[in-house]
Amino acid sequence: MRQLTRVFLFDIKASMNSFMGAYMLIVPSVILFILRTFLPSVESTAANIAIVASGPNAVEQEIVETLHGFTDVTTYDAIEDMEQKLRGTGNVQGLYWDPVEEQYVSVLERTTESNTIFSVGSRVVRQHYFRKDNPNAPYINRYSYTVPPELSHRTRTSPVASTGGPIFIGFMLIISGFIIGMNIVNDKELGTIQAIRVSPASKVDYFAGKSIFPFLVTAFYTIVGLLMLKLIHVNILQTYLVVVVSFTVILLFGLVLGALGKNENEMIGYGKLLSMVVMLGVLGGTLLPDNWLWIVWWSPLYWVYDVLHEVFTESATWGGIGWKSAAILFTTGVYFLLLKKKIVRGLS
Amino acid sequence: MGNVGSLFKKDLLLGVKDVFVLLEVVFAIVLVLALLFVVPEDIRMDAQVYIYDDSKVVQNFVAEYVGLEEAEKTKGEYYVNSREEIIEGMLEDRSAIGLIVTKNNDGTYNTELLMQPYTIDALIRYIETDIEDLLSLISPPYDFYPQEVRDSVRVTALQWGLRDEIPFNKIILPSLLYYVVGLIGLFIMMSLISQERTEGTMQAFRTSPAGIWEFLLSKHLLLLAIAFATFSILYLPVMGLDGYLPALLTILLMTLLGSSIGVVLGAIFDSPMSAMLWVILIIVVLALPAVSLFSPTFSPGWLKLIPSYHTLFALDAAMFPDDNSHIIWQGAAVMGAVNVVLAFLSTWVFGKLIEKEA
Repeated sequence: MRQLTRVFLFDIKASMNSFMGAYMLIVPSVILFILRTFLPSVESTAANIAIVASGPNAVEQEIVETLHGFTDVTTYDAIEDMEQKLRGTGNVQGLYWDPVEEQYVSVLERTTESNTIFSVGSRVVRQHYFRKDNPNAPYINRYSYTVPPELSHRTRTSPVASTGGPIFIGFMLIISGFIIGMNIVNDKELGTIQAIRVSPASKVDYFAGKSIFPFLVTAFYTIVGLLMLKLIHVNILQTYLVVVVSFTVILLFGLVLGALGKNENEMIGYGKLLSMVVMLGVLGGTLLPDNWLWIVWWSPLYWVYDVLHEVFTESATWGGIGWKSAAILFTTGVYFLLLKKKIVRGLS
Repeated sequence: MGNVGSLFKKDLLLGVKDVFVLLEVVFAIVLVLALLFVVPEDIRMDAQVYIYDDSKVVQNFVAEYVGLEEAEKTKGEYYVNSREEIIEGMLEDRSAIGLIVTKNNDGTYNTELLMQPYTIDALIRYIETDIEDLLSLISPPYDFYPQEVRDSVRVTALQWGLRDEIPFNKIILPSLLYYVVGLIGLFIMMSLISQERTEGTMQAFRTSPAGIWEFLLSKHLLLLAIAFATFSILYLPVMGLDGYLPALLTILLMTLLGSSIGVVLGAIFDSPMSAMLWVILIIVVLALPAVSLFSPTFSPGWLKLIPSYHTLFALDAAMFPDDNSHIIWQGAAVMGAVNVVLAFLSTWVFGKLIEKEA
């Protein structure tokens, strides 16, 4: 235990001397700040409308205000500028007044030739004129909205936050894996690994000691991440259980990097590729529909993403966490067995 | 120029010796095999909305003009036969919502939106406007709106006809190319520079006749060559020659941008690991525009300030042409200008820092 503490304290000292410790505090904070600022704007609107707001083609103010209620409105001075926006990126519709025909023109980027009436802009314009001319006419539809009781237990956390949270923790785990790998490669280059052999510290003490600092950083940023992403209402115990189990993936990741890399540069090369491979699991978990998720079952980080997503959407059960944690440990174990010889040889 | 050739040869040999060149190529081969043989081409879209239309007015309209199967496939609109089926679907698809349409005896309708607890107000109001107008237009006898209201607006389009359906393994290719090939420069340049500094070859280089710019140019060329090889491995088997050249230009410009940033990081930081954390931060920032690619409703103007925005959308435009070739050339112009500035700036910063170090 004393040897383990010494390795840990040595790591802390070395990290602080090389400013690594400071970077490890600053960089994830900046990433979190960016995510915190970025995420709410992703889900703030249901559609985008580009309108002409001045000159003879200007859209009248009342219609603009109605559009503001549920769309993101961008204004332009001329039809050409508005159309340029439509030709650009994103999903945008246009709207302007045609003084010759005395009617509004709702412009779509692309549609079928048979569509002459359906668009967001045309819906708002028709209802605006109908209500203006027939203020007392009944509505054709009585609209109501509700969260069904069967779904009322579900979290109010938006899908963006419940997806962004696991991705951030996934990033932190990979950063931790890099740090473990880099420390090992550093020790290989400096001959510390050889020195360990003749010291009272065992290999287990050494590797466990090397893992404490990255683990503490991950644990710290898990709680900071939950706070900043407004996920603090989720089950913290479940979150930490998953983080602890996930750390086995990162230990393996760090060990493999440490074993494969003869120097820091080589390790970074392997690290870049390996992190891409493990991130494919998260990418698949985010993009693939449910019936195709089996494609990424091989990735332990997919299981980490999946179980954290359940925890953050407050739909996780202890049983579910149990078997998914087992899946994380099983897949990690299989990779460890497959790579064991390489790791042992690389660290010798 | 002879110096650049010799330096390039040396860098290439070192790259092969340090296995990173081979690693990049092998990884590209594995990925392209996965894209061709594992990732499905045809993916059924998760449901966005489950509709139980007791009146059959909306369902019949969609069946006649769009086709129910097509609506499922392209819009994620699923027509079901009961409220229970909606709930079942919403329990399964966390982002799905439900709609129940019933007709009253007086010819009006009741529409109930069944939403998830996190459904945003904008979407609730959007659906209200959408359904009120739709029923006004299609409800028999189709004359709820007076003619002057119908004539108050016309719908037109910049292009007619729907876009061809793109297979899923092709849809994800622009992001993969950006992630796997476009970022090569950032990682490897930083690593190469650090290696030269660690091994003291920078000191030896100062006594050689070659200048700093030749030293960096050979490394930029090496990274462009690796990007060219890995890009071609990934692109050609999946896309063929369609859009190959503009997509290649786009990815090479991104590689150059990454390698210029890598020069600065490699010069500032003593150890690659210290620089690594900043590399990850830069990657996070550069990855933000990808959200807009997959969720086109989110497209704020400030996103264009991130250079990778132009790479991602130019790649998309090059691979899936749709009267949007200007996006490729706009992207190339922006990235070209940024690259010129960054290449000079990074060479200058690198020269100054190395001078100080000496």
